[in-house]
Amino acid sequence: MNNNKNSIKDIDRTLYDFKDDESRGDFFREKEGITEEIVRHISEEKEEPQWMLDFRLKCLKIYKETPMPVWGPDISELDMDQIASYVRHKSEMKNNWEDVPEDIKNTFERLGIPQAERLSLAGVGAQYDSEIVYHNLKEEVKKQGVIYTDVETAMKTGYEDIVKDYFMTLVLPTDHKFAALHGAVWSGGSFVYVPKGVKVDIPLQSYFRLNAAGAGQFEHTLIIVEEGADVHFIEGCSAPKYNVANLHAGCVELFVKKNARLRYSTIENWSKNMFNLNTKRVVVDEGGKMEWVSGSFGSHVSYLYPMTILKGEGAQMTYTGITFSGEGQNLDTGAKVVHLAPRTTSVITSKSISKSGGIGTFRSSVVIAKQAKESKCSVSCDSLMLDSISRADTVPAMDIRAHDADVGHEAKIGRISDEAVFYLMSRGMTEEDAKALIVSGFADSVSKELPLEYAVEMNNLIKLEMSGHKT
Amino acid sequence: MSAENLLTLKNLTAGVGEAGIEILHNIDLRIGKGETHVIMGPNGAGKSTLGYTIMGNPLYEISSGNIIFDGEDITALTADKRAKKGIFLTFQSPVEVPGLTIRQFLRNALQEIKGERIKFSEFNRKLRSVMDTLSFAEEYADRDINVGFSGGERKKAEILQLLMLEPKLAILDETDSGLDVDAVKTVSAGISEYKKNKDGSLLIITHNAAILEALHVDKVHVVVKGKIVAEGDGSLVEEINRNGFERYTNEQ
Amino acid sequence: MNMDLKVNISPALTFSWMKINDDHIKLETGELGVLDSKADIPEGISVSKGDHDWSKVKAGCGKDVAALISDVKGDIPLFETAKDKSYSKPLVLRLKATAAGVYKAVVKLAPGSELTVIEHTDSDIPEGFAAVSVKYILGEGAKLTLVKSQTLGDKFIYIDDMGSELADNAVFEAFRTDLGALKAYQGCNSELTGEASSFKVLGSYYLRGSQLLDFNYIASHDGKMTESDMRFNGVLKDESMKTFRGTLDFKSGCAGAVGAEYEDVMLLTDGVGTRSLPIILCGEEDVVGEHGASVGQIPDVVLFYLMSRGFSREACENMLINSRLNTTISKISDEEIKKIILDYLKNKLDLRSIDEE
Repeated sequence: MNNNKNSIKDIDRTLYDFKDDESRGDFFREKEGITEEIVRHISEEKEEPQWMLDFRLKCLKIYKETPMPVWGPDISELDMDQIASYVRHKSEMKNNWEDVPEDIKNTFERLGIPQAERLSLAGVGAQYDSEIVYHNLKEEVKKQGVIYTDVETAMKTGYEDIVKDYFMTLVLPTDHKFAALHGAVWSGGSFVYVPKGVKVDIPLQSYFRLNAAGAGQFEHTLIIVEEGADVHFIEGCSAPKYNVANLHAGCVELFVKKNARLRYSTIENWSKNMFNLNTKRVVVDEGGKMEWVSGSFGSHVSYLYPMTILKGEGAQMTYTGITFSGEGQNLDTGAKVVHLAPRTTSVITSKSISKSGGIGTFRSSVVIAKQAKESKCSVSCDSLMLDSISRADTVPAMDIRAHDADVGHEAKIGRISDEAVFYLMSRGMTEEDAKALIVSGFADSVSKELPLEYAVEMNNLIKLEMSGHKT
Repeated sequence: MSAENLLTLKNLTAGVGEAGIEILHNIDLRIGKGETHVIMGPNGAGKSTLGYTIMGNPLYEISSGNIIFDGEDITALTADKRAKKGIFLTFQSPVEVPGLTIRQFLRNALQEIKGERIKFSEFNRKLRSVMDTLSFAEEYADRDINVGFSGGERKKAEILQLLMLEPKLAILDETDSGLDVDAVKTVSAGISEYKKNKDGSLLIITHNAAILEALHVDKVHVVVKGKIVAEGDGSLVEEINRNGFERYTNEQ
Repeated sequence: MNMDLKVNISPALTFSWMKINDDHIKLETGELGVLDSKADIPEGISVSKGDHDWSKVKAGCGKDVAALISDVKGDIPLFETAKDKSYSKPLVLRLKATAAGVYKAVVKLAPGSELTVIEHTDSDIPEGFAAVSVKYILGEGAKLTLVKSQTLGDKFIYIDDMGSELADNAVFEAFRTDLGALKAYQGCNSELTGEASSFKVLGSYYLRGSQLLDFNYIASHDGKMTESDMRFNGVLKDESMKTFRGTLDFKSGCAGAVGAEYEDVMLLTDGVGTRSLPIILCGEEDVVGEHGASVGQIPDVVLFYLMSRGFSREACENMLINSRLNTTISKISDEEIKKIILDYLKNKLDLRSIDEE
């Protein structure tokens, strides 16, 4: 391990690859597989109200009845009987880094999370395997009435009704098999409530770390941004690499009320043994604005398509995403949008890079309902193929029922132009640097949407991927 | 100024639709029959907006003032009605219509404007002669309008339409910009052909003097930030060519 | 017979809830016979039995349709050109649909030959089922122009299951105009096996009432430097519905290939629906693949330009619909068929022709 590489601004794959020894007895781990016994046990551990246990059991039933998806990347290697749905370090959630157990604190320090909190964040949550180990919110933000905790704590500290009103009402357990699974075994995540008119100037961030081999992470993120409020939420994910499959089936439900704005940024850097089957969805009321920024670099297989429901008149959405698929990766990413109200607008911009046998698929769906008069949508996706053993597929779907909609759609697949490489080499660059520079330029429209330290991280990830060093 | 009035803009203020951003402020302008007027001004002064507003582009909303054309208030008329009354605007970026040839388009447009059937033979004779004037190869008549045309060809196709439709007022919006010397000559030839009709009036929007050389200019209006800041006779063109717009922009 | 066909299955599937991956035809018809057909065969084209070639070439509608058409008895004509011969007269196939019938044929272009095929399908009766499946095999350097049109009765169900195979430097250019039938399914698979072979299609359609048009176009790029270009310009009115599936499939090894698919859909009235699934599959680095779609009303700038030349809003609409259809109708060089189409526009669609005296 290179100890100099402990800051987010100077990154190396080894940074994500250290792991804590789970066998030392500080950990509690459910046995593998998904059974009623396990679901009941998780609920009991969390001292949940009866309705939540009932809901979990309903989800379990749906999970067992729902078939695997018929489209998308192959996930037959994923054996649910080998996945431990719940792993918890035997310590309580803390709000001071000093109180977090040494081994876990070291993990987050290596990832640069406490440093980032001091520098530029309004609040931080850190999840380690199945449970949140750290949560803190700056005092002045707390004073504005902002709530930032995990869903379990929210239920126990007077917000049970809010949780009950919103929890899995947007992502229904019947949506697909992994949404049902999530409903049955969910644990940890974030609960954010921004009261009416409150603008949180600096971002909140949750960081998810899956340390245990052969485990699943099923965190639930519930964010409610009330009328006229404004917040930026950042989520980061990483895990060390194991030889057995890990599963991430998180669920993100976001509610953007009238004239509110939410920006949701994700840098996903799961290890390459991860099955990332995540579901994210937002409903946007009148005049509200949702901004998705998404960078996908890690995982073995990803299914990830944040969905936006533009429910109120004039609601807006932008999605800006980049996916880098390298060796052994099959990343199926994109966005979904449903226009349900007049004069709603959406802009989807996607960049995808495939290299060293990686498979990248851009998948999208745009639905404009009949009542969504004078709505506008523009989709553009660019794919870059860096060699001929990789794949880049584009599968966009549209369904438009409003005759006065204005929809534009563009997709392009190509490679790095030889001329551009030659030009840069003629100015003294090596071929490798020239290509890395061109790819960074290609990714620029996404990286400029990210907070600075993440943009730097993303550029470093690109350089790392481009230099061909294997992890 | 003895010529009979053709176009009068009275205290015209216009802007972009809902946002209500004003682009033109209190414009007063009078063009007589047969006269040639020139609008000059720096980029973004609102020159093209003025042309669009006279033609009736629904993108621009008139918040106050009137447009009087040939003795009639046309402020509320749509573009097609204005075209029928005899106003023509050349576009900087003419639209492509695949599947519609220049010949088909022009004959139909002419029929709309004249309100009567026009025989193929008569129409074709006229088209041939006008294309000849513009040294436009006749095969272009059967090409889809503007589809795959170069910048110069598009401009020529606009002048071709001008000569075929014979409007009372032709507004040329930067028709000369981005053209090489030969193309400017052709456009100039087209303009003098139009001016053969003594009553044909011209409003030329430009920031380049090349196409004005062969023309008698009756009046020059300098537009800066949506207002007419100076007016004069043809000599003003040369003055601006020498000194630029600095004098006028500084006054703002 | 009772039909339950899965039709126009996309080569790559997506979200099931969008119900766009394929369509179903459920239908009861009488015994399937053979469509009435009349062929004008230019001199120098040989006609023989094409059963073997027909079965060999894969089409676009999927295996249910292939099996249905294949099961209908009757000779499959094979029209074959002579090597290096260029035909000035077109091969014209006039197909008249009956209550329930199919038509199958193979057109084979010998190396270096050039031919235009004009194919038109219509009916004297308003209702029925017609399935047409012509396969095209192009030898090295052969050049085929296909001009297809369809003005079937208002209640017809129509399937067009096309397939083609292209050898080195072969060029296949198709133009099609779709106006009739209640439900029309077009499947079209092109195997660009030969180096530098090229497949281009330009289609236009005008749907109204409760018409449905469902496409599944696949350009399979195997050969190096192959080229494909698929463009569809359409107009939708009333409660009509269009589903477009188009796939550019760049196989590993097709270095230098270029493919494009474009859609322009003009929506005239409330109630229409347009769905698209334009797919690009890419397993080769050295390719350029592009897709573009534009869906909506007549753009303001186009409307203002045309209105400024004296056309009323209605006249602009009429002219733009006409011009769209005209991009493909203008390729019909057979006067008889052209007249059928223009009469259809005038009488059924109330479209005033631009060229009317």
